Amino acid sequence: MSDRHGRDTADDRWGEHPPMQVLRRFPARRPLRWTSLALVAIVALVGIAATVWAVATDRSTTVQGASLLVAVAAIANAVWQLAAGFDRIEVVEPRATHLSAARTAAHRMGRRPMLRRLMAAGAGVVGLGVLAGLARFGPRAERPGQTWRGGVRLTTETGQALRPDDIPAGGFATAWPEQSDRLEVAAVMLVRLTAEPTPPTELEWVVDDRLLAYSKVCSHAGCPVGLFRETDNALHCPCHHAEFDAARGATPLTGPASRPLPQLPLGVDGDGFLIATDDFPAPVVPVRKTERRR
Amino acid sequence: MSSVPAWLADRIVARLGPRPDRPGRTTPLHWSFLLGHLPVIALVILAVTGLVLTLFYRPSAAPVLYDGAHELFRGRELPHAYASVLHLSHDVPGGIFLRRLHAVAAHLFIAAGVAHLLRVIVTGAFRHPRQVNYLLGLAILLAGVAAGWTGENLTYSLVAGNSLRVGYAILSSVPVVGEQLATLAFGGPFPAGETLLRLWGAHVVVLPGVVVLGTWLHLRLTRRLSHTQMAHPGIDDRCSIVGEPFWPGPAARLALLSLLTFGMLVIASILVPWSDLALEGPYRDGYGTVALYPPWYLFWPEGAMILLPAVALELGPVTLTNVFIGGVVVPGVVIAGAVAYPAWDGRRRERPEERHVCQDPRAVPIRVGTLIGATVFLAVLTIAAGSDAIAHALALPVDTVIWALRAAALLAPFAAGAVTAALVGRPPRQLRPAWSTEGGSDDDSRASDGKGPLP
Repeated sequence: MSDRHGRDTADDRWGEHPPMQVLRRFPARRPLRWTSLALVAIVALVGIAATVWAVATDRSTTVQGASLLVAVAAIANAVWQLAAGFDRIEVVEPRATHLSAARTAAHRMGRRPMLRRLMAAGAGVVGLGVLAGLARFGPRAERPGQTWRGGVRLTTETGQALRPDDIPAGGFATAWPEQSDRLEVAAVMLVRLTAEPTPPTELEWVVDDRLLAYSKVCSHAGCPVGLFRETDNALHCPCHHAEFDAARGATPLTGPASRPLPQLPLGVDGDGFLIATDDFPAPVVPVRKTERRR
Repeated sequence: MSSVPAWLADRIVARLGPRPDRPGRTTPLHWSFLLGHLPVIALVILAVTGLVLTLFYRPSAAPVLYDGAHELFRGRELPHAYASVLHLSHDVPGGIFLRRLHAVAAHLFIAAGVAHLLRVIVTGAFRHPRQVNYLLGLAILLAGVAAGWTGENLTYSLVAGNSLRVGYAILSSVPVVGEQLATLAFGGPFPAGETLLRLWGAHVVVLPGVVVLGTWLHLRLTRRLSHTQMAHPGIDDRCSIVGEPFWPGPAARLALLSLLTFGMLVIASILVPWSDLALEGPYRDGYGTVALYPPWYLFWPEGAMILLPAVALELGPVTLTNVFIGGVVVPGVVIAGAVAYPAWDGRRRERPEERHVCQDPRAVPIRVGTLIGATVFLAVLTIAAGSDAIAHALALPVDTVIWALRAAALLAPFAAGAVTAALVGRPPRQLRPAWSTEGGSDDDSRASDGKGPLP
């Protein structure tokens, strides 16, 4: 018995290129109902129009999204109705299991250990060459110029010069060199400790017995060390939780940093403003051991 | 019945109904095979939304005056990139919706890619002749992760700028060639004017090119080799492909999945304020905030850097730091493990016999245990990235949390892997003909017709 299109629906074979064996049949779950399909299509068009209107008239995201959702749901329903309206079959198709010529060649080459080792060695040599070329001729980062010098005032981000009295006990501020480009490597954490600092802090670089400054660039991965805990005078970096003891030369207390933060030599000028008396004693950014800024 | 004329109904049935003359590829069926389609849907959404986003974004950190609708920033000088994103979000109709769709589609791409990878590994779909396809899939996933990282940081917000800073430090930490690599990638010491332009080129041209080309090759190869299939009783799956003709069943199913996924992403965009930048503010040199995180799929290298103790190994002129080991070595080992896993899994297989049948996880308990162990390890590292949030929630010092997570990272993977392998490897209580009884890595020469006795 054949259907409207002349296909023999009781036939066990299906298709011709290649011929397939029918394994199972799944009859259509529901007949195609054209009226409901047309209705859903209209809803979809309304939804699309509503989305365009919502975007054009700058409605809230909720309205835009809701109208788009209506259109998407309607189209999905239409697709489902169409898919459920046809019979489905599961077929068995013979598989071409022979290895193709290219795959056979690759397989044969893979079975020759000597050839594989030679190719691996060649790739290794090329890789090493690239690395060596990069090391020798690769672009170097330009060193930023000296950002701090003797006599340069410490200022806030807005350029206001700082006095020692601006920082209360347990307080801190971010300071920059006066009239600079606000380079990241120049940022400094100015803190007033709640206890006397001890070596390895450079005591000559401390003002008012407790006011000192460290580089704000974390010696681990360069994030700004912007948190200060006054109970134990610890500087805390939020990225990977490195802690530095501000009363002991910012040596690493805990966490992944292995080098202390460089201390900025601090002084007071004739007008009572805080100044740097020299540059940092050590490089600020993580550089290779063999390179020094000075 | 129907009020539609018969010729129209016939036309629709002929076009959309079953086609015995052009049935398309025989497509095996299983719900887990749909996981691989989700990244394709996400990719299409990313491409379309991304194209519109390129019309509005400016890849420059130079300061400009923002004069738009957002009260917090009106009349202030902001980096051009941040200002352009703010302008798109608050001054352009539909802008924030577009950005949220783009962000949530990126999250779906990676999450679904990982789920698909897990399915492929567990069912052994990486075995011959699909080795190249497996590597292609890994490459697509890695390029997707890189695209996600560069994309999030293009906004140049406070969090994004600091994430770039950490990326620069990771590249710089590579011995011998670190500084050169970092300068090549970022165009100068951070923060350099060139950086955003290079990242934008990577995010818009290079990485999508890799992902699209990789996906096209991946799908083409899947089609040529035929998709893996579940075992069928009474049929030799090595010689036969069993499934539905691609048209209309699987085609309709994939179309429906695409529409439903798109709908889910739209709902997520409405309900969740993804990528709401105004709260973070622009990046200012030397400033950070407490909540500095990379995207969630890069929590695990961040967690590795947090959990590893302070390291300064000096080998001659070279210093290996915690940043290098946590940011380069650990991810390198994980990726190398994923690439090399098929070779280790097939170490005792002699002949490269073609394998097209999905393996029952219960037949490969060691593989499932290894996979669970690796997943638990990555999960502990991911959790470690939020150590400060956990410490705050539990009112503990951050140091305590970090020590607890260090112990967990060393012990939990092995414990979880061993327990899983033991549980999965128990013999099933009865023969289930729907599953293949094909053995594990070492013995695959048996016919998988499901009628033989259990191993």
